[in-house]
Amino acid sequence: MAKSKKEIISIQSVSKIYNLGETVVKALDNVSLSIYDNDYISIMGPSGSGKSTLMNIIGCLDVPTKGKYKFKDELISEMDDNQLANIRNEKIGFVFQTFNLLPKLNAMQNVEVPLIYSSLGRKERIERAEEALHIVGLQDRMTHKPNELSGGQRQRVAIARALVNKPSIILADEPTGNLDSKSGNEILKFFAKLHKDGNTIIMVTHEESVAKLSKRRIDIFDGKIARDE
Amino acid sequence: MNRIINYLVDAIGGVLFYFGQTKLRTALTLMGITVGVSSIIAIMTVLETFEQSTESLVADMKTNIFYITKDNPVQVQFGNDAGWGKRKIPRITWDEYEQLKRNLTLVTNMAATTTEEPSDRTISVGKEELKSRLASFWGSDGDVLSVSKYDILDGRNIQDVDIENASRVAIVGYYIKEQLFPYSNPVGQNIEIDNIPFEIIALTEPKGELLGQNMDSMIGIPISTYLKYYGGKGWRGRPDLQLILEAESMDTLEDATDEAIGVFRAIRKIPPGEPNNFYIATNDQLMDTFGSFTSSIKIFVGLVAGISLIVAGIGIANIMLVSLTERIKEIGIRKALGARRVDIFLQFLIEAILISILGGIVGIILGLSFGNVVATFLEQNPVIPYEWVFYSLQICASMGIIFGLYPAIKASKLNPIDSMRYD
Ligand SMILES: Nc1ncnc2c1ncn2[C@@H]1O[C@H](COP(=O)(O)OP(=O)(O)OP(=O)(O)O)[C@@H](O)[C@H]1O
Ligand SMILES: [Mg+2]
Repeated sequence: MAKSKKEIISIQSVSKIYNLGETVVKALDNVSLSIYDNDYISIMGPSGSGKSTLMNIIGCLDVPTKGKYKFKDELISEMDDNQLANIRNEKIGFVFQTFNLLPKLNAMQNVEVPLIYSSLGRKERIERAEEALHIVGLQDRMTHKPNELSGGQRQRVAIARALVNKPSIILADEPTGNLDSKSGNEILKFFAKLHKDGNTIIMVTHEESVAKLSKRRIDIFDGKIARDE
Repeated sequence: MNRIINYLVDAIGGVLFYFGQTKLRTALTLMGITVGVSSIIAIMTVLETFEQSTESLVADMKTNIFYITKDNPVQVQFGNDAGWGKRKIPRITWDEYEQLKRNLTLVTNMAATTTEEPSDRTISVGKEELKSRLASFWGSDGDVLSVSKYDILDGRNIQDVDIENASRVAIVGYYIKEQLFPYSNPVGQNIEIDNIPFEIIALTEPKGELLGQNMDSMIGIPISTYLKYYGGKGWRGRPDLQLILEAESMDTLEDATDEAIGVFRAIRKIPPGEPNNFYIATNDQLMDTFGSFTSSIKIFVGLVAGISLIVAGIGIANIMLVSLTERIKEIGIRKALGARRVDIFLQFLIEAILISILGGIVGIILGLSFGNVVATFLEQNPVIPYEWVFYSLQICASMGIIFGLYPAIKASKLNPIDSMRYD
């Protein structure tokens, strides 16, 4: 269906193998996958099937043991630590299940963190962080520390942080896993809006109802793609 | 450039936050640096004030003067001089003084002084006794007042006739007046030293304390009187005299000292090849000795400070490692958001440097305060040893770098996925 769209991610025969002495864990087993511009994908699968492993590789937090990973025209699977850090900083917005905000920084400062690593000046940083917090509707919570925010608000700060560098792709590993259903739904509505605005989103979820909101669904089983439609 | 400023702002914020979170631990860590730096600064401040005052002293000192003494006149050396060892060192006696006086040709002036510091003699006026120990009791046939820089407030100095006649006349310091003559002028009145009455002929101006000694708790009398009344039986052989000799000029100083050494060795019948069993020193040499004294103190302080700084440094490394384990998750998050190795490395290193410099600044402030309190106490002018302030900051910064390096490298190498999972 999406063949007419531009391919931004190409994963070819990627495996991630953990060698734990006696046992060898194939967290990802020869996975191939293409992701297109403005995709909205949910990844489902049982616990331990390799969803997070795949997300981490797509998000350049990890490198595959085998196989090729191309992001636009860059060969991620051959990059070193620093190059990966730059890609994460500029091209990828990550939203985690546990929010992963820095507890000592307020909402504003948390959103600024990625900008610090892209060498932006203070003024521009503040402008863009404000803008991002505006998008997630937290303009009146900018100076609040994470422990002064609700779970849903924290996740929205995390989304603002993921958006702030205008990434090519937004990755969310069980973004609603730690939220009650009301806050979870707000977040999902939010992703739908981001998708409508042209963003590319990949989301891991355990819930059918959540997966239904996306446009494309990938099921993973035992490190392999079992279904992609 | 922007990045560096960001790091700095971030690091300062981080350090301040961290201090707030772990006040006690940070304070303890900082204490090591603070003690190290403040001891350097305090000692250097005191030494500097000393150097300043001895420099002005040297400017006043006659350069054509030399001394013969039993003990090293600058009693500040650690351990024994080579060869001085276990040999018995005879006191300088009145006989030797007189023989010297007869035989020296290049010396224009000579004086002998004997000093009890402190003195256990009973000082009384009528039934009133001086309660504290007398700090200094001396007898001399020279002008001790001008050598020791006392000014006469009222009365007259000891004169030749006093020495010739062994008169019972005494010069008293201001403390004696305060204690024993609170409501009257002591000059012209009597004072008893070990129950022997003396007429007070002079009162000196208050001088305060020097090196913890009350300079005004002082009584001086003619040396002849001293020997006659306090020298004991056979006093000619007993007291320990310090001799001050004056050459005609700087040019003849060396010859005069050579002559004095030769004559004194002859008087003491020291066989050729044996070392002197007395000290002979010119003012220049005293200054040199003082200089080597201060430099040996500096070396000593350097060692002590060095050790405490190394201990402090290990403390810094430790606090940074603790900070590292506490912040593994933070590091993971930062890396996930695009921090490169160098970013994390610099964040940690700058933090370590800031911590140690902060400890250093506290140490400098404490050291300057303490050193200058001591300096004022010793009646010296306050100073700031800028050089050492600068060195201290440098040392602190290097310590931050050296001891922050390992934690910083360790932090920079953390893997983002595992670190984010860490709790
Ligand atoms: N660092 C690691 N070392 C060894 N094995 C690992 C490591 N990380 C993941 N694995 C293994 O890889 C497999 C896939 O893990 P992954 O976290 O991708 O699962 P998941 O699908 O995200 O599960 P969940 O739904 O529970 O989050 C698991 O069997 C896991 O034990
Ligand atoms: Mg997972």
